[in-house]
Amino acid sequence: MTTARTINEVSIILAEDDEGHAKLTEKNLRRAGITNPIRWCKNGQETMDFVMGNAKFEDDPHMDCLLILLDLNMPILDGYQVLEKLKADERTKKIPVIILTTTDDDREVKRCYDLGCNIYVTKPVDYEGFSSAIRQLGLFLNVVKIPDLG
Amino acid sequence: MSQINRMAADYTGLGSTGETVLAARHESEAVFLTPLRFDPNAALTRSAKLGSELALPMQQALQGSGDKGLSIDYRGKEVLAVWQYLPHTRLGMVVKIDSEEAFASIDRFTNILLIIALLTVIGVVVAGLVVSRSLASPIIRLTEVAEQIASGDYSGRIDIDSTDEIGALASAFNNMTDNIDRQRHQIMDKSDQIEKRSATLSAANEEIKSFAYIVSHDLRSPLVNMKGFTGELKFTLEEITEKIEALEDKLAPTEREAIHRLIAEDIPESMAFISTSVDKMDAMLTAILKLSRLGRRVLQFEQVDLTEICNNALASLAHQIETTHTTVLLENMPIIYNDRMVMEQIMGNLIGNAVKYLATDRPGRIRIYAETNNSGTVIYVEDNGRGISDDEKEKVFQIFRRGKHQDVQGEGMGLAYVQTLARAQNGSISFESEENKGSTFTVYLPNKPSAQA
Repeated sequence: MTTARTINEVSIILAEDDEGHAKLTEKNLRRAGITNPIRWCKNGQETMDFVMGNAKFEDDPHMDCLLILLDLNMPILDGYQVLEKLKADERTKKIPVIILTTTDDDREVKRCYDLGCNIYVTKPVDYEGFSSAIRQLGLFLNVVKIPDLG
Repeated sequence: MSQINRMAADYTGLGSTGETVLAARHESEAVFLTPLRFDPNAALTRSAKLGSELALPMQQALQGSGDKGLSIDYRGKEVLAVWQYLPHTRLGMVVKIDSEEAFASIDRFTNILLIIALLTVIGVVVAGLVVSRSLASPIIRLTEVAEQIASGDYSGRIDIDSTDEIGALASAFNNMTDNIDRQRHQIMDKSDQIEKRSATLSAANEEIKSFAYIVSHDLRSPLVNMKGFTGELKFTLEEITEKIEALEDKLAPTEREAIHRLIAEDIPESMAFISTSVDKMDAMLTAILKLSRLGRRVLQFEQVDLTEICNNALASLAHQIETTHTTVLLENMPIIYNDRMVMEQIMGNLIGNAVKYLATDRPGRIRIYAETNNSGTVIYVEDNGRGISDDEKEKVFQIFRRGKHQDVQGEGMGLAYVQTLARAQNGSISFESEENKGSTFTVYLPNKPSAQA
């Protein structure tokens, strides 16, 4: 069945190697009113393993309706590679990917859009700006419809 | 008679056809008295008719006249003769020799002369050909080799080793070619070296650029945390403040005061310092990023009026110019073919600096002028401000380094920018300055190949 679900039923994967950033992002999402489960993956490989339903995550409550907040500079597999792999696979290419990173270089932005990301958000150092960006993202997620992957 | 016969038969000195002939006249005939060389039985039997075409000298002799010359004898042959009438004996005498024989030696001489002349001509022609060939051949060879060299093949040499001028020329030519070839190789080597060096420089430049990018990007990441968690601390502090306020009446006044100071002053003060430092660091990283991106921006060339650019820059500094009683001399500035934004940044920066670093004890005087020549444009911004002291001169173009005078605002980025912008176009920036007298900054920008060229 391919019915769309609203954000309430969606699980959010936060792919971010810096624990500080991950915490800040989560806090701000919560402040924006997002109550969905957030699963933190520390690097690109862990992200792929989790999304693909890899064996080592069997004990984890595996989620199937997903939204991915993806950082670009991660070890093992970086954000570009994760993005590429996700969009190349039939099973995962419909998962909405939101790039959330410190780079604002327009070549990088273009590269991400070329690889198929849905949205690109820059994390500014200015905290106000950052939290505002995350909160707006949260509000945005509130209204967006995520396809059900089944 | 025999005496006469003997005389007539004596051919001494008369060659092989010469003879002496005697004859007497008998009626209308000349009768030969002696045996003739060519007719031994002619004596008294052979005669020649007077008036005929034979024995003409004899006929004349018998008619009384003597002479010499070419005539026809009794055979009808041409002879060279001398004839005479002998009155005592009434005889005619002819001494003759065949003209053939007479002229034979002359003919021979003439022939020899002709042959010699012919041989000489042939000899001269041949000699001429040989000499010219011997001259031309090396010249042709020289020409061939010269052409070969002109077309880029430096291997040719002349193999002439005669000791004359041609040999000397060939030898000199070979030496010259050797020299040219050697120098050519030196130049090629140098050019290879230069290429390698500029490739290395280029690579190093790229490394620096991406280094700047990586450094600023990777250094930003922790800043996000620092700023972020300072913000979180603020929230936490707010919550604590609320909770303390709720418990306030349970505390002793000194206690209340101490806690209040901690929550309202100490903690916020620390956080403020952290926050300010983070902001500064962010600003510097942004500036470095900007600088590293400057090289990458795609330039758009157009006809840029420098007078307009300078006027715009001066307009934005109008207030400062007025309050410092500064006179600005904007001389005739050219229109140059360059990128508008680049020119705006360069002029804005230099003029801005000139205004910023004026001396406080005298009215400012700024002069902006330019020179154009075949290779490019040189722009001068001259001021009578504070100048730059000798120990500061090295730091002028360094990023983040600023002048001693702390009363002037700025990040210390301007001149580093201008230098990067100028260098990106193969131009340059330099300055002359004397502390407390003033400075002149000079920017050189080479000409761009014009679109309308």
